[in-house]
Amino acid sequence: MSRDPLEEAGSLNLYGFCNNNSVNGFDILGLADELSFSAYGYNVLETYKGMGRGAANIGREIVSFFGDILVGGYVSGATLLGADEHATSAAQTLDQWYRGSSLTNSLDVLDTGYFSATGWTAFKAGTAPFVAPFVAAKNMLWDAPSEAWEGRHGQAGEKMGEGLSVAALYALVFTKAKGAPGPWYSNFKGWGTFRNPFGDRTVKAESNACKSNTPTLERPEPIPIVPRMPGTSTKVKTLPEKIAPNPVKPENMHQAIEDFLGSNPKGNIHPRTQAPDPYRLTSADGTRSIRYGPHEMTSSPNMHHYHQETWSYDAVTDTITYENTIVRVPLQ
Amino acid sequence: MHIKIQSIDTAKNGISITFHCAVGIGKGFFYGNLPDAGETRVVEIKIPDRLILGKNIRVDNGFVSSAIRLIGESVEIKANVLDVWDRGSASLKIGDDVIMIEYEGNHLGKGEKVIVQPERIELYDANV
Repeated sequence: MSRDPLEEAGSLNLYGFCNNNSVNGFDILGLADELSFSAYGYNVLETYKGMGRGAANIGREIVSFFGDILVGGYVSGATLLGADEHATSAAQTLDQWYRGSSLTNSLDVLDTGYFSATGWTAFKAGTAPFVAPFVAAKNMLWDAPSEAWEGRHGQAGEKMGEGLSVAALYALVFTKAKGAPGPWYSNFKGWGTFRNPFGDRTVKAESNACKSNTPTLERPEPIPIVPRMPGTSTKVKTLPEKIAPNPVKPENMHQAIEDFLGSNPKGNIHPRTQAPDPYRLTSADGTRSIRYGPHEMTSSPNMHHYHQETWSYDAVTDTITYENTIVRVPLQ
Repeated sequence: MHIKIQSIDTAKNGISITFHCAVGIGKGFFYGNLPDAGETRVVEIKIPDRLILGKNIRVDNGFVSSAIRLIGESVEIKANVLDVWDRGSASLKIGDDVIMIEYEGNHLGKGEKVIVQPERIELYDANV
């Protein structure tokens, strides 16, 4: 794990990763600045940055949590269908936080902490629907009589969570990785399922638009399709098991795994169930994994091996095709 | 290997399950999240003991398809030798799956057919 290139703007913990919760999420981007954001995605990025900077003294963990939702959680693809879950989670977190801090802090955070001047301006400039929940959240506290503040924290948090969830989806769809051949979502084609929820609308924003922070996207509304992802009910079609023709030397095992999974950050989310799996290392796009569990660990030295797995998801039939190759790594 | 759990028995030396699969019926000790009867799982089959050619593994080219069957409390596996490596190790193809074995005795030949009667079979949940 490398030092956070965003320095303290991301978190005081320069080696922090996914709010120390890499089991449930992973930060594929590492550094948001590495992305070329367009339109709404750009706004979200600015907001994300603002959240990180402004809340430095009052809620780094919370900000990191939201950052992960915005950048890591959704990008992982594991949570696209979990918007409501995240909204609830965000609401609960905010609620707990509000209850544990002074009202002044709460209002400051809403007004200046979460939104740096740049971030808030960018945020307001956007016309995406996620603005409304944020404004509603802010107004709920700001306009409420003092005796009602306590009771409104939860509601405000809920609204905030709602906004974050939608914003995250926008960030995912309308951003593209630097150097990537197409829109960011194309990186998920490995699933064979990830679809632009806005149909065939063309992303018109160009790099200049990004720099000037002037959204030129056609406003998409409402979101017609929620991308479908594999889950516990997904059917599995297994292809015949294979064995790699040549064994791998133990000293080359790490490199062989890197070559198979790619150099991008890896996680341990099961490609089908989307649940953490202690015996799998999964590629960033969730289409490849290495399985090394009790069976493999307890194999005799001559039979020592791991499994190289590929997963192809078909959303139409909600079926995942699973291919598995045994790779021997004899230890003697 | 895709298996469907037929029954589960708690034995002294582990949890034994009887299962159906595409190539027959077998039995083995289960490792992993214990399924209920009727559930399907994908498992890796492990034969932990070193087999002895002529005793519990023998060459027999008289069968056509690989199979697994129960003979009393024992399991018999009919498989094709997929690969043979040095130090008495080989891989067997049974149905769509691969089992790795270690054995003693003469060198097995790639493509030969063998019948294996291991003392113990272990099934590891692959969590697929």
